[in-house]
Amino acid sequence: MKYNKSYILGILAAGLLTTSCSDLDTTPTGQLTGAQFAESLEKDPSLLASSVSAINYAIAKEYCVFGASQGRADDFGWPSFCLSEGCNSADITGIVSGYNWFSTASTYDDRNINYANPYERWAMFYNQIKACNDLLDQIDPNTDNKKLKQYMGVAKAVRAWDYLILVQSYAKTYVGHENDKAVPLYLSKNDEGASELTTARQTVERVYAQIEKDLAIAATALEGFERADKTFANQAVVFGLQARVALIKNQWADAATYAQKAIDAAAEEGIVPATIAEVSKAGAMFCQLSETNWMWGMSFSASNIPTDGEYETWVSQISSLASYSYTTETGSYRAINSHLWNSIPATDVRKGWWVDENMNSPLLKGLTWSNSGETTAVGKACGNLIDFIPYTNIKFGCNAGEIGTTHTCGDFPFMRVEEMYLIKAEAEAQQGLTGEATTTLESFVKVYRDPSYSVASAPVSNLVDEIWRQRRIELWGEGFAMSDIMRLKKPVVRYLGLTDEVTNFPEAWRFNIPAEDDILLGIIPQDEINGNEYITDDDQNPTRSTPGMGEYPDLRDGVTDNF
Amino acid sequence: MEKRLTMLLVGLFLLVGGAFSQTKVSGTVVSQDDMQPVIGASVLVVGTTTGTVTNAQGKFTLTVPEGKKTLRISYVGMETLEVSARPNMKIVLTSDQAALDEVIVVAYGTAKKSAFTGAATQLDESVIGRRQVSSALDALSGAASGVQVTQYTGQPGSDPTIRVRGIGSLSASSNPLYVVDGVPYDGKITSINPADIESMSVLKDASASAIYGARGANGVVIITTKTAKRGQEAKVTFDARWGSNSRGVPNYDVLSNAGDYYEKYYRALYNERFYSAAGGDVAAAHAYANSNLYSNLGAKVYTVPAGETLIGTNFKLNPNATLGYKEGNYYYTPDDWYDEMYNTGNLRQEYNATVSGSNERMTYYMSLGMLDEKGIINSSNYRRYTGRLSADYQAKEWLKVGANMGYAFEKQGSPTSQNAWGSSGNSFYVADNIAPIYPLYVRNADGSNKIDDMGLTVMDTGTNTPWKRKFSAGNPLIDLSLNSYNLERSSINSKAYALIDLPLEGLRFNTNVNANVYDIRENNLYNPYYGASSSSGGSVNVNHYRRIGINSQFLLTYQHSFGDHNVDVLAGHENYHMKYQQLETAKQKLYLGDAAELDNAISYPSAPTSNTVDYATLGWLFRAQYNYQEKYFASVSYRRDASSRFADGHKWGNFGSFGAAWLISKEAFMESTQSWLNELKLKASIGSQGNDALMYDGELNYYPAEDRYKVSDVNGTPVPVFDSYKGNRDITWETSISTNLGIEFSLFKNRLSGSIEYYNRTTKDMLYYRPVAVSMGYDSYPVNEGSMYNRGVEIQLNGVVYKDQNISVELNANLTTLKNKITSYPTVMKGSMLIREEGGSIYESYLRSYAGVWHGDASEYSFNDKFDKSTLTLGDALYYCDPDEGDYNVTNVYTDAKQAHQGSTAPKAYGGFGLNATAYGFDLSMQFAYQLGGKLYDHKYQGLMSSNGGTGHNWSTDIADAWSPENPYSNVPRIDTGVNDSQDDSDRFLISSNYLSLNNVTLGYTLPKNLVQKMGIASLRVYVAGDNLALWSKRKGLDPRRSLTMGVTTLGGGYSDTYAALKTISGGISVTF
Repeated sequence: MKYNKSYILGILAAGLLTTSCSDLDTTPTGQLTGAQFAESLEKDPSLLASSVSAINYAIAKEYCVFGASQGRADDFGWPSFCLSEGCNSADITGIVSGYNWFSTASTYDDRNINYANPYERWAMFYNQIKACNDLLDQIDPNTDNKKLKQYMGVAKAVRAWDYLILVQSYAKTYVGHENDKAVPLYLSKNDEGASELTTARQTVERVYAQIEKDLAIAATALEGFERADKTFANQAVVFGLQARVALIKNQWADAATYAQKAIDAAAEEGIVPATIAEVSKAGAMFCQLSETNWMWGMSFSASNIPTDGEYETWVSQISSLASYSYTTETGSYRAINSHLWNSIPATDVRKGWWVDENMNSPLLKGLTWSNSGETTAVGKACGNLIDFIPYTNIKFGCNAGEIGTTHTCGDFPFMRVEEMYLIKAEAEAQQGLTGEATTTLESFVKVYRDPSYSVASAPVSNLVDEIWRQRRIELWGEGFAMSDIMRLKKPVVRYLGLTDEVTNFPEAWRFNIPAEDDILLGIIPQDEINGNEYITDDDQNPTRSTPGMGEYPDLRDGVTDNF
Repeated sequence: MEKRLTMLLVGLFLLVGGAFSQTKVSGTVVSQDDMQPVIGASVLVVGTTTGTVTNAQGKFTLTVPEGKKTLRISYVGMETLEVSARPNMKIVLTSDQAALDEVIVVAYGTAKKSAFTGAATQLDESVIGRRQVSSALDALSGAASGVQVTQYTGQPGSDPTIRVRGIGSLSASSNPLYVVDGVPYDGKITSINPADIESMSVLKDASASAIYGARGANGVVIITTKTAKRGQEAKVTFDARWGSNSRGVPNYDVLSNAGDYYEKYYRALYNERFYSAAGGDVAAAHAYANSNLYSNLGAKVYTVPAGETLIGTNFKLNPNATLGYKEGNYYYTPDDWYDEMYNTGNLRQEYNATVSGSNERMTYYMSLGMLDEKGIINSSNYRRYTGRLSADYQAKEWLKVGANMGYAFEKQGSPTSQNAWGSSGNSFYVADNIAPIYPLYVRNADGSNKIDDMGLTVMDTGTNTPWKRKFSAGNPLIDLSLNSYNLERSSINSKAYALIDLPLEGLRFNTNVNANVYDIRENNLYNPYYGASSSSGGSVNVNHYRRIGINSQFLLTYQHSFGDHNVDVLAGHENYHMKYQQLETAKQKLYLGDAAELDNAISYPSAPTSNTVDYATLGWLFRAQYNYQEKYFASVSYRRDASSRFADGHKWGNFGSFGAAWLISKEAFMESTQSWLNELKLKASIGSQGNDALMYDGELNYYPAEDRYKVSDVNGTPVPVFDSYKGNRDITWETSISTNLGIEFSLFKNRLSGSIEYYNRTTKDMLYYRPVAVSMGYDSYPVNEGSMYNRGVEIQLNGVVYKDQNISVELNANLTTLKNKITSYPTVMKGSMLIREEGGSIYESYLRSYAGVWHGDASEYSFNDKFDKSTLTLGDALYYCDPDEGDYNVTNVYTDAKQAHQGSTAPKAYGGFGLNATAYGFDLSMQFAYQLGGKLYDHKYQGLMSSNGGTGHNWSTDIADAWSPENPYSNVPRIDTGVNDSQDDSDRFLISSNYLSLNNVTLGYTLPKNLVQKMGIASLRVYVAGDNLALWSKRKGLDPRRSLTMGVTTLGGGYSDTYAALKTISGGISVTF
């Protein structure tokens, strides 16, 4: 053979040299791995601040639980919880339609262990709890570093908020059910008692104890915390949460005290109830973190909408004012219970938060939207936009007031200062301090909502029920409907008997549910049972058949009875 | 031997020998069969490189160097002969056409089938070329034992899904490894023109594919492209075919008459009121039905005399009602959506031209191809241009170099949402399921179609007339007409190689460097005039995807015979690096309504995204094959592979195999059977292979070891947010251990040949996402846990039923059985439709058991003591409470009934059969595929049988059997708009997945040679071919070929509304010069 062997070996060697082992260590760009994240924190500890922001975003993002690959239209975090529980209650109604993603809540078909809706309502809070615990794992609880202490305070406040929602969704209310099974508790490794916990359902008592403990720590840690924006919890928020806890536990005096502390702390930050003028701006209200009355909320702006994700946002499902939405394009508007709406005096600015039976609201006067080359009054068919239905809400705006927006974004509140006035009033009323309660209630409603208001001439004579009525109107769609029903041990009343001509619930959804009925309890998703060795099928909440049309026609709730 | 006779070409020298010319010999080579000359047989002087090939008359002349005198004459399909050289020889070659002696393409080379210890099935060009499919993989359906082919979508230009010997993995990909011309291939198979494919081999056991170690666990499909034969003179072929595509599987039988639908819906409304808690009042129920009929459905298409109702109290359409209704400026009448969508012409045309040939140092093959086909809906189309050049060059006596380059440009119009469950943009969902009461077009009061200012026919979007349709917002026909979907993929599949003969005889060094590159540009436009994007002024997406894969192989081979001992050794190194990048952008508010570019739009609804992933593997491989007297065969292989997917310390895996075969028929003691038993081989193999292809969210997961965070815009700050993916640094290779036992035989002068194989594929250390408590803040993380097996028998038979000079009839059939069992699994995973647990199978259905309908007779069913029978309403659906626990009491409360094991849905057997016949120039072939003994969940039928009709959702004609007082013993529940059971999954909708499909029929006629030769043409064939001509399944409209798994109702599974399979019928002409 006429060639040189070394030549061949040269090729061979060259080939093999091109394959060093370092080729096997690949790292993505664009997607961040845990290792990259940890390394970035090590290089620059100040980046821990991002982890605090991450906590807030965990429950605000689109495709919150199931991810973009499933692209579910009901998976937008906290507002989807609010809409679901509102549809469970007697406060929010709508249309029967294949495009109504929340009709499973209206019919109670969401009590199905394999459905997505109950999975979301369970998982979103635990996802946020994990974010809190991941941050708490990195902070020595005894740290003197002021910043770290504040981060800890924020994480504990958020975690307490999560557990407070969970415990109210999966167990009956605190009073009388202290030893019932509630939800699993996950704590940071730095938390006292963390190692003794299993992933079993802890008792109601245990969960509340943890919430109260965390809030106490957070209240101290957040002393003097100047937050970057209202997506972060601060001390006023913690007081507000403490007020909520006390109210649920029927610790009325504490509830009133904490509510006042929250009002005072919020005021220091310039947070006061919104004026009548401020809550008369259809499209621009209840969608901006900067609103003067918001104590705490989530931020969701146009840049948070993924490509082609405009339809899967809360604005698309709740606000009636975007042109690119499930509401305006399929008619799945969210309307208020007509009986409840009827109870609102005409002098109350809030009556205009929903259109009347003729689809008019004073707040819509002069407003137009345009679509596909047409311009018409808001609420009327325009291009492919569908007419409002009676009692459609225009409470929630979108994209900072851009009516007819195609950018279906908007912020959403977790806590508003108005709620604190109502907590205080209720706590006083429950103690029998009728005078104080009247003053508290009137000083809010009269000044900020209805100049003609007085408790004496209020639509509902029972003071506690009247305050509940105020809550149902003021906080409509903000996630309080079911928790109020549970803690007040009230029935769900959607219609007033078989001959009710007033109710705007579609006939299929026309049923009432007795107080503390098992169907009111959330259902633990099958996947939790599959993966949790301490929760078996036997640990599931009791269920019953979904309510049928025409059930319990004679129940009344004390609020809507006469409207 | 027909093929040999068509070669009219003068042979060319194989290799040019040295200059020592001594003895000149000549001769003729003929075939024993017919005494015809053998053209192109190679004649080699043994012990030298001197040789030649026979010419058109079968003749050769050769100069034999001094000292050499033995000639070796060989020809494919003939027994190789060694004879002494002398002048004017007549050499008779005997046929060796037993199936066992076919040469098949195997890992890193070829093998004689008789010497092969593994399990493989090969399809040749004749089978692949017949099919009119954009992806060659479709040709495997029914044609290869052990291979299941499913096609989720009929969109032209889509690859089917291939499963070899069952689904082998849980959370990792079960796709086989594709190897094109010896090199792993990550592109789309549609990018390879089927006309360029010489053969497709499916390697099914470890002995065949363990050498691919890392990625061979789910089988290997080796695609070999065409090359020229050495010694072949230039040959030019041209093939053209024209035909059309149409919908291959019709819709289910649904209500087609508006009156029928109104009657039914009215009845459902009536029942809702009559049977509710507030019920029992006939007048109120009629009133309720009348007042809600139009408002619920949002359609009024009948005119009824004033004061009369559309449906009478006898539940019949008012005889005075006339179809068509005028109101204001509009006229309403229903349209047949199905016909409007699918009755347009759909041309399919395909052209292929090749030139191939060789000279003394070089062979070349060039091809150009063009395929243009329209889908069965507007905007759905596929066009492919392919070019291929493959050449090799004997540069030096010891060095051969070559290259094989394929380029494809594919242009695909693939409308979005056509497979999306319940999507208003999915034309298949809408056309198949819409109630027959809705207009597709907006009509003026005079009944004419409304035309807008731009001259466009206005279609009913459901919201643009006073009547708002309640079924499906929008109108897919508008989307398909005015939107555009344009994906352009350029792909290059190039390979360069060198073969170096090393000083030791039989020792060769081979290096292959291959680059697979594709580049996709996707421009989608959503029109600003009508439909979903009109409110945003239209929108445009521009996306770019790029994949570059570089694979390098360095192989040493050694082949030598030591007397009766034949040895073939391979050792080498292979590495692969892949980079995938994507960039996605979108803008809204278009100026031009039809320009799909960002510069035509002004607003940014969302930020552009881009990211890159990298993936690398490297491996060392070794294989030794040995045989004694070509009677006893053994093969051993070993491969050590590393994958970048795994963390340090877990990257490497070791895989290997051992195989043996015994050609019993060559034994002396078998001599007595030779009259009828031509070949008999026993074989056995065992080995292990790896799988690293963990999936996540339906895509390959390249970084499974790490937690995943996503940088998100949180109030203007970039913040890493945990992306719900929990990694595990301990995960490593999933291993599959395969055993294979087989018999291959050929009987009765090779008239009947075939094989029977038993396989057992056990997967252990399975890569799968172990579910954790959702309350952990994530739902699962990847682990190596659990094991399962897939086992069964494969039978392949080929028979020559009749054969003479002019007529031949051949039949082939294959059957594969499959049994899957999970042998170890750490938990019990209950899903909404299936259950995974130890001892079960991955196909185990888990559904509530439907008991029937409440007929009012308490003795018919048994009830729990606690059950309140007063809640029963006539016609209620009943379910067994808990059959798994033996509780066969019934309840009408769906959620009170427990899910129960309903058995495996996997087919017990599947396969195909076919016919190839020729007679007097005519040729006919047919190919069938079938599947037996399995079940599937019929999601679509469930939707069509929903009690409440889903407001405007059509009903199956079977709904006529629903319970009613007139039909009191029915087992179909009462229709009732108050009963929301469209997602009440139960075994009621499990149905047999048996099917038989006629995949292909081709009828051709080859013109007589003497006729065409006068025209200067070597051969001319005309033909007609039909693909996917018929499907017989358990229910009209049901296509069991879509998926192997159950799916879930809300995601549609495979049996819901996806792009229907295509039927293609063409006529064509093939010319060879």
